[in-house]
Amino acid sequence: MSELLTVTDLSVHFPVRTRGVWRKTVGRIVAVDNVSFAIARGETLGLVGESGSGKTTLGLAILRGTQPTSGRVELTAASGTIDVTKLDKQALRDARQHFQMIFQDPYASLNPRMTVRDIIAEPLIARRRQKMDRKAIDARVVEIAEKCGLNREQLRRYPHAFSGGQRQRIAIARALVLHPDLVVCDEPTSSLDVSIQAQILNLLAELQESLGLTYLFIAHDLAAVAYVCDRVAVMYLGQIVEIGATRDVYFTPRHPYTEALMSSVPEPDPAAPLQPMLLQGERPDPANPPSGCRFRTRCRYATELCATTAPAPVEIEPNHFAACHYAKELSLKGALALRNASQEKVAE
Amino acid sequence: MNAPQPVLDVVDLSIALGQDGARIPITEDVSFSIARGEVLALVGESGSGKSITALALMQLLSRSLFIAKGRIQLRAVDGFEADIAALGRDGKAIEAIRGARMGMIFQEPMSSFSPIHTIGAQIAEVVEIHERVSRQVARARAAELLAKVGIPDPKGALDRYPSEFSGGMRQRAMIARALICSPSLLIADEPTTALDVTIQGQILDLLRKLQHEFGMAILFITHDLGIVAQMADRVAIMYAGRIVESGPVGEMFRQPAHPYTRALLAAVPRLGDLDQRRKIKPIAGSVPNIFDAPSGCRFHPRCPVADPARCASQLPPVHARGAHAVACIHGKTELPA
Repeated sequence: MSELLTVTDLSVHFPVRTRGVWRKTVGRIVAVDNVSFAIARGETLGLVGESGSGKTTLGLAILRGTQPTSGRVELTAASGTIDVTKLDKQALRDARQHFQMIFQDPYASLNPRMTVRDIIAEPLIARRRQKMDRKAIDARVVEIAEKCGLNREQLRRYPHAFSGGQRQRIAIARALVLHPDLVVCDEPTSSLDVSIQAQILNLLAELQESLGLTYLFIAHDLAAVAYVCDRVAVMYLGQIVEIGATRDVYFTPRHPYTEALMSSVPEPDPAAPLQPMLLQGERPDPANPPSGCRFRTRCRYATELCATTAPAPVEIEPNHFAACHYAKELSLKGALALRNASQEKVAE
Repeated sequence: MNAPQPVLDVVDLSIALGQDGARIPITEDVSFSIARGEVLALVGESGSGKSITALALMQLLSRSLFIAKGRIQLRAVDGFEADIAALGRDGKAIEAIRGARMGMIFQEPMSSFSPIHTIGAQIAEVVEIHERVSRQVARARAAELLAKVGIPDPKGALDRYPSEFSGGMRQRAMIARALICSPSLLIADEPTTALDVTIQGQILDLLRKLQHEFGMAILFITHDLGIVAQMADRVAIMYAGRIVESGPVGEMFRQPAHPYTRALLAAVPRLGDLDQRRKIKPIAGSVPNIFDAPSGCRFHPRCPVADPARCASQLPPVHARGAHAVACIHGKTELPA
């Protein structure tokens, strides 16, 4: 498989300013810190981590929704490789047809004064290089709307007439109308009910198959991520601490933070008891992160080495990387412990 | 030996919205009971009426809502007994229950504390009011509880403000406040929804430990079936204002009898079958609007096994076998033997 998206040493810093007129810069928050990864065409990469870990900022920085401080983002489209970080305003506008985003809150991401048809058509109209006539636009809107489970009649209505799940379908149709290569889904189901979440997850999977889409799937619901993602990256305080195939990361984690995360997922099965590896203390202030390994203040395995030297990502198994000094030695508990327990119960 | 009376008996509780003289039912005929030391999970999607029911138990409904019918019988461990539905929103009688014999923790730890008073003052206040003890005694009790819920430096924490606490710490402080008078019943309304998964794990763990220690009953309100499986002894499933099925947690997950419960379980992704490539099955349609609820069985428009003639015209009969009860026309044949 060829790489569609390659992210190299991407960093995003936000200045911390004083209040008042002069707004002096007194520090910086490193929201994303030297992150590198790649996504192959047709693949779904999950990005998990707790609030404040920088996963949304990373998603935005890839689309230049926020300006990266340093690093490179390259997208290999049919027309050639685009260096997203180097594009000027006009070129970025043209390039955006290749990458689109779906947001968490479908109540905030749709303009209430526009009809569904106009919302979905807007990316086609905004694309100035390739003018389309009204008929062609209508045909494209109807086609994509139907793929997303909306009917022709609903296109004349306004967003307020739709439930959360249907609004998310509209947002998905808008993101897909330009036939993008990459779609960044930022918590697309976390504001939806269980029964509706399943509809949207399955729709995203179907669309991926029929349209050949590649997803960066950002979410904190670990069960939903496991359901849709081929590979998963785990973020902590702006860094990717572990990345690998979903199965490996969930069941045989190599980073102590992943262990804490995976063992905390409550499984909907009374026979698979929750035994969380509890984390000590609180997430450190991102403006003032710990020295060395950023996780060491909450890590049960931390040693003096962790305080002085930041661990580099190491490949433990093929395509499974973890940034921990002891990744090879530690035997950590994953969601596997929980799965084994439930299977033994079934076998009884 | 006679089984002790349940701590809480809710019988045919209906809550309605009063609007321009018209009554719009929000929940109807909700009945359940919770035994001493038991955890009952009340489960439902948004708009099912689960939070409204919890608020009614404490007489905390907003002014536009009222209890139209039903009984809420509380039998506290100290022998106190009352029908909360008959007490009204204000007055000495309900105040003797709220915060003392019944504690409540909410989803939003940010908005449940006053930002301008210290954590210590807000927790000690509860003991001062209910047990008429001196400020020093109350503060000592507050510090003791803060230590129990795992807040580091509990004495120092008394003088800090809610804004100095993180979300997880605030939730711990809220649990301390709810438990300081050793309530017979704790109502937990989505207590971990706003928290990260590792913090959620900590809070669930803490609630389990405290439940062992205090022996209180817990009404756990949630939409997360994972939390239900991990925390509950018994489960009641609500759909559009009615309880459709209730039973012991193991049976509810292994042999659910109501089509909605089955559909709900089929719709959640699980880590356990990551290898088996199980497809989750969405439920067609969407949760009905409470102002325009379907007639008869409220799940019938989305139900795969509905009999349109019967389900649309009349309420489904309730069948029960042991502690497992279901409101469905197929209930008799579908209940596990």
